[in-house]
Amino acid sequence: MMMKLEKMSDEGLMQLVSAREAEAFQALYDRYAGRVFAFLRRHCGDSGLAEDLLQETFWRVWLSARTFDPSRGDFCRWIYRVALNVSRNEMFRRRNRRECGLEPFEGESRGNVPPAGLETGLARALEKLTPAMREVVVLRCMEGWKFNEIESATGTSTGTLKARFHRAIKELRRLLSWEENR
Amino acid sequence: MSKHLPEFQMVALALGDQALASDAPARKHLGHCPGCAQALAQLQQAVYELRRDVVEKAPSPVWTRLHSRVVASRSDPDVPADSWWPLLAGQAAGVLLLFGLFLLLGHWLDGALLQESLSAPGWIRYPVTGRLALLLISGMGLLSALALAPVFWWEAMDPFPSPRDLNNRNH
Repeated sequence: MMMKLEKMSDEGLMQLVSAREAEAFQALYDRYAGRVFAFLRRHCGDSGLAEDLLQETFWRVWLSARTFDPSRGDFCRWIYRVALNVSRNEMFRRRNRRECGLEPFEGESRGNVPPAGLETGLARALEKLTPAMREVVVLRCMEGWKFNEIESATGTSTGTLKARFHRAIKELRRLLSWEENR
Repeated sequence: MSKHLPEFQMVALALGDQALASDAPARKHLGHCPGCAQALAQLQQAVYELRRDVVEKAPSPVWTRLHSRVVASRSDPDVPADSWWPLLAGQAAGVLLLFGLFLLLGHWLDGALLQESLSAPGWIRYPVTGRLALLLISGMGLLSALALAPVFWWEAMDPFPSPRDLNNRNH
């Protein structure tokens, strides 16, 4: 059964998931969990938090499988969009809690290891970017989204995204002291 | 082209933008300006690093926790996403019931016994149309509150809040 599911398309699996087939859900999880986890880890900059967000992302996929419409885009983009919303919501919630004094400020509670696969300097530089800047760098560079795709997922205009991306790259270069060679 | 390449062009080149990659003046400048060439190489290296190893292994406890939630939701018919239909039906039944009660109350207040009673409170001595209007207004208020309840519920359940809403919150 599992072998058969492994060969099915994402859309076919989603049909089964919407009929509450747990094995199809597991097949989708096996297919995408690694990529989504890497994305979340880089988006939020915290490995522990990324684990929770990964779980929440797939939980929402399970709950909302029937809202997935293949005619509006492929499953890969859809799940990244869910993950993006989950991560943004969590960051917004944490920011509010910090502002209310309910949670320590960024950096105090973390002490986390930088995302695997990234050079430490680059990972730390990424962490120092604002969430909005990090988001556009992660989506554009790491996930290879076009600016118009990011626009439709985030609701931010392409012009703003390009300007933000430009500033982010400039900031990354400054943080990594690349400017001195120019 | 003696001026250094603008940042946006460097970024586009580093990202592999085909239109800009074939831009002859930019290519010519890069051939003559070691500073820009080096900066571009560093940017390309950064992009390469960022793109490398995008696939990672998800921690196994995540699936264990997720699986237990999935199993629990399958055994609990109230949890899945389609539970809005029973909720809506319950709301509609509640509204109809309350509306019926209001009508019955209006009919009862319309009775001659209370109308004739001199000791009845002031509002009961109002004309029948006034009392009906009062009941209708109260009923409409209650109806609106009940009608809005699913909307609030849907907002709370919505897994995909509007990007604009998120932007307003985040930036």
